Amino acid sequence: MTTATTAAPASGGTPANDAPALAALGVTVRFGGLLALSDVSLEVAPGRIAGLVGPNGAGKSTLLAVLSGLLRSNAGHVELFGEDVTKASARRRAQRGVARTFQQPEIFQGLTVREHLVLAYRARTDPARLWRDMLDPRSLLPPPPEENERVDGLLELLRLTRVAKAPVAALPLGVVRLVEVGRALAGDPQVLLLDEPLSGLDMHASEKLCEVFRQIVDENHRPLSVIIVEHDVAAVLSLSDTVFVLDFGERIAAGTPEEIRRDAAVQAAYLGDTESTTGDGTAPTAGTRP
Amino acid sequence: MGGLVAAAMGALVGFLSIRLGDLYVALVTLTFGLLMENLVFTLPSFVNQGLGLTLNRPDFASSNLRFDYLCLAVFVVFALFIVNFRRSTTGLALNAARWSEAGARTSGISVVQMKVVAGSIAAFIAGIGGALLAMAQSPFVPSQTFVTFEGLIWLAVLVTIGVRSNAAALIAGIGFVFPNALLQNYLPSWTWASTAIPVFFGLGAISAAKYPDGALAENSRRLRQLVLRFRPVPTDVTAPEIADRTVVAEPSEARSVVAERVS
Repeated sequence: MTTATTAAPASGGTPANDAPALAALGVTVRFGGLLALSDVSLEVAPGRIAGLVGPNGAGKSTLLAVLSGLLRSNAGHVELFGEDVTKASARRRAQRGVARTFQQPEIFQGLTVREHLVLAYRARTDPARLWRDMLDPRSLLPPPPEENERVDGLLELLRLTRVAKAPVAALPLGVVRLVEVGRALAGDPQVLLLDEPLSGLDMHASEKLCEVFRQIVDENHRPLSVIIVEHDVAAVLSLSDTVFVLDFGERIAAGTPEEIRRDAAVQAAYLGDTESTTGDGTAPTAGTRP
Repeated sequence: MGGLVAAAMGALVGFLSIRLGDLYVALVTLTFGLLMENLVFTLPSFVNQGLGLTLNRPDFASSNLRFDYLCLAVFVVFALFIVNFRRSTTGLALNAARWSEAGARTSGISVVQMKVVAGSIAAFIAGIGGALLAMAQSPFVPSQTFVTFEGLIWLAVLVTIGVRSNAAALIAGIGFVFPNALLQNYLPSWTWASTAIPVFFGLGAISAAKYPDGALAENSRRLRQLVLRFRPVPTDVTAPEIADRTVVAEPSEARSVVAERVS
């Protein structure tokens, strides 16, 4: 079993140093007497996709909350391109290039699809507009071409152009998940955290969305790192360069998808100890505890 | 000046209530109002030794009719400001913070900043309204003109009609003044009716529990739903390929939301 690989990015060149795009180092989280995460480490290289899988209650979403700054860990560090951002707020991390989606979509119901992307773009590129626009008459002018180019490009990429003017509250779950992805990408992030983006989608829709994720990573103008938390293990294995497996708040495996498929501990976590001894090399398919 | 002072106070209240939920923010605001009414407005400098304060109207609006036009003009200016504000980046960010704090924070939006901005703007507009009220009732005694519990009746009227609409604000204002004026001028013998009006407003506020967006928004929604029965959903609100195969929202709910935005 190997640990996470830090191979060169698929596109867009390498950063100035060899630091991972985002890393969690020895993260521990307790909720009262419950140990949600115990000394968990994880990292994703620039321009790579890291999968994070595990049964229900393994601590995947908790780890994502720690990485995005929504939750403070009791111990451990979070580093963004080698810089310690453990104490940085979620907003600061977002401004430094960390974007995320949520298991239960956290959408802004009063806004249209396009407004989600426009807001995220402006919050990242010109945060002063968030309060300046209420007094600045220039806000009445048409948006700059770069903004339109970025937003329209993302709408096109995610096939959201037809619903751009629709309020998100009126859209089905699959589209809402795409809107969240679009909102996360609109700020041109360097790290994208996806929390169960395939949840609620059928196989065909999942495949389509995975294609979109791969396309985003491959075609982004600069290296984009992705950490994807997902119950659909097969989808994660097909999509990821590196996979981490959590169980009961502990990291039980990390490596390439092939290594994860053959890992006895992973099979034990998903299928039970008896099943794991068969070791036929097939991917676990369910995200439930045995 | 009144607007700016009120904006500063609003920012202070907004900042102090950052971590509180909606109900507690309302309680903090109410407490702040009572504090001002009982401790500040009773100071000798505010009551002018019982003679009251005078706030002169502008020269061009010295008559009651012209002053009414001035008030209407101020309302129109603020209504236009609000319409544009909602479309601005600040308005979008406020909306975002309202619906999802987690989503807003991870999008790079400061929820704290937005709450302070919301408190400031709301207080600024209220401050301008207070200045106009003081001009209308000049000379006035602050502790008698700006009574907190009378403000609650105003709030009840507004909530009953609708809290997120310029049109609702206009109707609420007319609804508060017009029936009273009608009763006092034309039906003097029905004194009981004038005292009953606040009760009706209170009952209306209770109905807000069922229709939180107010009567205007609720009736508008029903009307649009009625219209939509005879009209298909707009073609530009067609789900893309991925969505075609996913869980679809309740059609009636989707239609009503779409109708509100399309209209």
